[in-house]
Amino acid sequence: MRVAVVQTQWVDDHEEGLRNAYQAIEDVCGGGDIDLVCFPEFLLGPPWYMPGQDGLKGRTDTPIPGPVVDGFQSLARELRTHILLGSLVEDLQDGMYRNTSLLIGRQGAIVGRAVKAHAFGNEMVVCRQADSLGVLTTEFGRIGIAVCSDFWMPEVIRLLALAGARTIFVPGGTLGQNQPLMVNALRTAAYLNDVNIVYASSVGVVRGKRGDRLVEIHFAGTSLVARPAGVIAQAGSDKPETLVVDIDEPAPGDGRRWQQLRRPAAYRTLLTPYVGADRDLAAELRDSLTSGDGPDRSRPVPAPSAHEGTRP
Amino acid sequence: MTIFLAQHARRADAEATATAVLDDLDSRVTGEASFVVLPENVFTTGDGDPALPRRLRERCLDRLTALARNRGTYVLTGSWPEERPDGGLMQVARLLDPAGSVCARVERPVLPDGTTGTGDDFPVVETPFGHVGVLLGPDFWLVEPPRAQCLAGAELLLVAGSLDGTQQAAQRAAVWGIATLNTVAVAFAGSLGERCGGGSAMAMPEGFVAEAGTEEGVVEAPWDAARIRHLREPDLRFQQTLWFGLWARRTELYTDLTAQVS
Repeated sequence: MRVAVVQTQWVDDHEEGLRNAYQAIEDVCGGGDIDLVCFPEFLLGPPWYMPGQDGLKGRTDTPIPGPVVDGFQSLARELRTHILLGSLVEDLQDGMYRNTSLLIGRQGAIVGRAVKAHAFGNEMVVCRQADSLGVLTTEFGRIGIAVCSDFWMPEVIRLLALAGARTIFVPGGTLGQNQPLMVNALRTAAYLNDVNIVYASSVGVVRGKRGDRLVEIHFAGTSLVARPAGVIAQAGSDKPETLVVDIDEPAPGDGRRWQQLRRPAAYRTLLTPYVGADRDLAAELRDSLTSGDGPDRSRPVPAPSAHEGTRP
Repeated sequence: MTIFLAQHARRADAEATATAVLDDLDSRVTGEASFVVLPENVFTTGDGDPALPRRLRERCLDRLTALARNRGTYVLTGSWPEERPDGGLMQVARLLDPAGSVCARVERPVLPDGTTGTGDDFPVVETPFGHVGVLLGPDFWLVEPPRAQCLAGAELLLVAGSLDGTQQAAQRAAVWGIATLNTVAVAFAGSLGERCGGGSAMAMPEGFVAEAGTEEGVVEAPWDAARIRHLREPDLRFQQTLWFGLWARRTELYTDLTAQVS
């Protein structure tokens, strides 16, 4: 499978962002040999529910199906390629939203979707989460999609791998402060589960207020492709870029050797919450949004920072 | 508070290896120690060795017990093969407390190819230095056992392990990756031998604190459970995000992890 991983730059004008996405697809697919083009989470730009982005409501969110998706479907049909819309803020038309990843096939049809299952930040308040995790059967074999923060549950990549996915796409966004550990965590997940991981991230800065505090969110790109043995391609951290990578299904390696030693009946603890989880974070976030005060941390942060993240 | 990780090459036989390892620990481990961690197959090669002779086993355990008492430290003894009543072999690792008592014991079968098997029990021990999970052999490289221990509160994983995979650079990096993905500290002691590439290391979620690489020796690393506790505390301003993977789980989605895979 020849994959193009598009690292997008967030721009103020979402129409420009859309044009940039179309252009990236046309540029990379010119040779006619790209099987799948993978975009990051929020390829149209920041969601309206990020700090200070209220003005984007109704602009970077979209109904599915709808005109935005139609455009990508036409492009996929024209260029005979798959397009993985890393994610769109799906407007459910009832006041709620979903963070939805769509896979469009070569014929232009939507052939798969994944909804983020582990809401992050304000998504805890305004988004509905997936109620299941599953793999998609494609001409490339079984694939998985873990939408951004879903990756941070080791259970998710494990479940997708056990269900037969040999390549897992992670449309996400790399926070600047997490960049080194993010790369290594992706690499580790590929190794432990014996899968390829295709990670697409945007670059850019989002500025806004959370409560009474100004915040800046820096997205550091670093889109990459990792095989079980390591990272085979990686983008830079500060500008748009497209990686073109040939990936084959990994031969059985260490991860599958250990998977054969699994003792599923012994893992029931995984079905219980973290023993330290004793707060309703969604309720706290909801309260902070309605009260106008910023949320807080119950312990002081040793070194206050001007940077804030929205996702791990 | 300091963690000491032992990484030693095998000598001509188990007796010589044991002497070298134990003498080195006696000379290097200080009273600052909170944990001393030895690797899987610490005195043997792991290539289908027979059980460690009883007298040697007792002598090793006596010296490690004395180390625990004299330095006031917890000691994960590493593992060695012992014979089961039915004649089979098992790898056994013990966690000794500062009084020299066994406060956790992990047994894993020795598989027909001489490697260590996996198990059903993943102990987490409360200590004055934080909650620690004890892992032996390949359980560490499975996603589920370290995860289960962290969900149960383990802030530090003590691993008697081996870097014995076919993709050792990736395996080495995974010591840190497992720390990141579980927001936990990992004290990994790795065997050093023909098939085992060392890799003893102390990893925090943000990176390696100390690494032995492939060199013989005893690695020292600082330890403070407060850092892990801080990282695990939700920060709804999202300056810190590593808490998320523990707090935002949706357990109803994970049932297939406990089902037998066809």
